[in-house]
Amino acid sequence: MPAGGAMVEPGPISLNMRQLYNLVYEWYQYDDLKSVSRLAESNRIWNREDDNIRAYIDAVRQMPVPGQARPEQIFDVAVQIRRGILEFTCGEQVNDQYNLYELAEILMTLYQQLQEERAQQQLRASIHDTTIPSAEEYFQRAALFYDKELEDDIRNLGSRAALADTNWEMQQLSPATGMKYRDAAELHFREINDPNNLYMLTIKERLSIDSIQIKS
Amino acid sequence: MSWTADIVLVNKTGAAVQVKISKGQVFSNKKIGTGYQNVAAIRDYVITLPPYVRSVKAVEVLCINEKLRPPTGFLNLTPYMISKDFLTQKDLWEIMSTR
Repeated sequence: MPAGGAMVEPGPISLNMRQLYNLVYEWYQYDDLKSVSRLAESNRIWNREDDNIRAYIDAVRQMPVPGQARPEQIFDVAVQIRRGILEFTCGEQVNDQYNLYELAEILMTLYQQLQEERAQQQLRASIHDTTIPSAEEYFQRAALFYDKELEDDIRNLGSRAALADTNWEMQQLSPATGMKYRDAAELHFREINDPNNLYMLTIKERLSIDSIQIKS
Repeated sequence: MSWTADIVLVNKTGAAVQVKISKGQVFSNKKIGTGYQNVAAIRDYVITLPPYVRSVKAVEVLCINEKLRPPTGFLNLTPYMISKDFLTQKDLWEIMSTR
């Protein structure tokens, strides 16, 4: 955990989950338990007990209101749609784009992404130095400190992250110095001046770089 | 352990271009604070790219940030190289940890 505060919930994923969950929630409100009759009919055909009807009604009534729903609660609803008590409704169309099954699948994927983001935050926090108020603040300030460095994602040129991340790491090795943003030379980076270097040729627009990707 | 970065290049001119990637040239994450390693080329590379040709060059790289997670995804090219010579991953991490 970053020192001095609770972990910040990654915003965009949570927001997406809530927006999509809102569609799910509204479908069940609109249905107003009318699907129960289908469940009862299914029970009759398959000679099943009706105890799943009570479970279904409870699950619908206990759905959290979208504005207050936590990602874990949304995930639980999605699981119920995919393979739980709500599964028999999963083919229901919610709008032109999605049925409940598809929405549940997206919600489960988003929840996994959220978990990965949380794990990353914890990793950053695990090498966190108490002299820095929080990891978030460190990286926000780093973005400002290194803003004189060219950053051009379209041309795949840029060094801000390498400098900020490397400084971050060095900061962990010297906590006694307090927070410090070092320049490239202090971080053991030396500027390349060779005119035939890929960077220089790209700046001069003799070459372009379509992408640079770590091979998995 | 080394990694491989695939660089997709295009020669935008009507003449062949000789391209150098320096040993130690730094490749940066696209976003600050992801928790993933930034990397540096393990040796010099010299490529000659014919006019208007698009080509993929595989560059062997080592990790710069010992405490961070293995590199992944897309990178940016930086104008920097590691200021001291190195042979192994251990060498590189020792350089980077020197204050």
